[in-house]
Amino acid sequence: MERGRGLGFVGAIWRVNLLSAMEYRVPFIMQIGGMMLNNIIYFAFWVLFFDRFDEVQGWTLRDMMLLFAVVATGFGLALILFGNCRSIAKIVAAGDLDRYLALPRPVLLHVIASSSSAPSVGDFVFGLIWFALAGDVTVAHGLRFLLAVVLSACTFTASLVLANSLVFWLRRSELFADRFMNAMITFSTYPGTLFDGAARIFLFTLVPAGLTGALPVEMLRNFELATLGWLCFGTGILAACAILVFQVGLRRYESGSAIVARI
Amino acid sequence: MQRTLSTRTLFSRYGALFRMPLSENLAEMGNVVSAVLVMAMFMWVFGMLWQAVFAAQGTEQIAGLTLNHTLWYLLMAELVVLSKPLLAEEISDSIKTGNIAYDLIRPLNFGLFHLSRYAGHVVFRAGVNLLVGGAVVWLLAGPPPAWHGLLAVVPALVLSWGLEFCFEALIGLAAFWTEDISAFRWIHQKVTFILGGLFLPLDFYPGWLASVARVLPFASIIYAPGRLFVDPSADRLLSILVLQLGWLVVLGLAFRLLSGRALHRLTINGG
Repeated sequence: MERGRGLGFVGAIWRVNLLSAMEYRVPFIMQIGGMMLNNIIYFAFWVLFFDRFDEVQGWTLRDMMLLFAVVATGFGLALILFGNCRSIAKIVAAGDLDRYLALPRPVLLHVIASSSSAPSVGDFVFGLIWFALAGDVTVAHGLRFLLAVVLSACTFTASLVLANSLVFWLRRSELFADRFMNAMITFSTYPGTLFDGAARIFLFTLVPAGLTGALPVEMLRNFELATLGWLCFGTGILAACAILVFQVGLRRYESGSAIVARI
Repeated sequence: MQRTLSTRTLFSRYGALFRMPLSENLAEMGNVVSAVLVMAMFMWVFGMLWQAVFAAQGTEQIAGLTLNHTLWYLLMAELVVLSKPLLAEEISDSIKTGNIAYDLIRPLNFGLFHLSRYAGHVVFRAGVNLLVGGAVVWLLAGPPPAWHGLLAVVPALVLSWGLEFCFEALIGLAAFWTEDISAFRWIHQKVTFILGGLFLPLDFYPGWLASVARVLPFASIIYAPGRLFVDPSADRLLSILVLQLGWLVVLGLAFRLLSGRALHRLTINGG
């Protein structure tokens, strides 16, 4: 009963987020278009790269298109639904967590769902277009893509919650959280086969970009249950860590009766 | 009636603004240390990428650059990008919240006020990023190809950040006309990444594109200091500085024109 009410509450927040974004139509459309253009320009780097090197350890430009499709759609979905997962550090540092603590709802879920990123709709749409352009649009492939996107979105959300939760110990960590998000996006969009040994461990643990890009694409290129199992396992562990670290950190939170000086 | 301030007073005022970010950064060391760790991660992963590329190509040099050159080039490129503050966002926020009123009532020039703070942030962050990123690249690829490159690159880096300041300030001022500047920021960022050569030196680009990109301001921001650092020469330094100064004049004039127009549009309600 409690869980059902909780989900209904999140649905209501998403509706409000959508309506408030649509209130300012021109900026909303500009942000979506701008983000799609931004992604196209970013992809140009890989066009140039493969123009120079043809193939890198088994990866071609088509694989890169699939990678961008999964990462952009996954990241877009994460920030459309849980836009505040990247702003927790800012919210805590400003003492703005108080308003969530006063309400009888799960704090983490309430915080991260309270904002939706309009530009991420551009990421989401871009990802779908890139998937269609990469070819092989069959029902089976489409379902695998959907699975890959959902898992990628969960990993993005959990990683950003974890990185932002450092604020409970560091007092200020917005810069770190911002750079961490950029690192996640950047490393997610690199061919998975380039990294082995320590780098591979690093990309599946400290900055789990391997779980948001390389491994989902591996599952798309060559579907195996073992790959799906590893993907679900990694995402589950990350999500559990994110919830645990946030809850532990929350106990250290002090109210935001901050005095703001304007100089 | 307007009082003319002595040069010494002006230096003292803007000097204080320049030093302020140092205190801010030192007060938030956790933030800075964690950001530096991200810089170290970037360089390490780039090291992995380019080691794999050079190994796959089975060659010592690609377009005249060795692995050592490429990684030190990328360090300089990342140094430019990761050491600058988010000026466009800061200006845009102050316009949207109305806090710009507090900036304008100060007895300071609007552009120089932001430039002093920007420079303070850049000097602090660049110093720390260079030490950490440099250590990672040294471990992966050995020492810099030419030590005198470090001296040559300083004026090029200063002008590079000057150009980036102008771009960021222009984008921030766009908030006077548009509700949201995010789209401009992303597009400027990605165009600078691609045409500036952030992930890939322009030498690796197709000839026609490299020739066009080299004369654009984006290459003066990223490619020029990086390439100068790994292959310093008096001729290269001179041609880079001339091009950078040319673009700085163009963008500086554009900033002056736009800030004049923007501030005329300013209406502040309430009190």
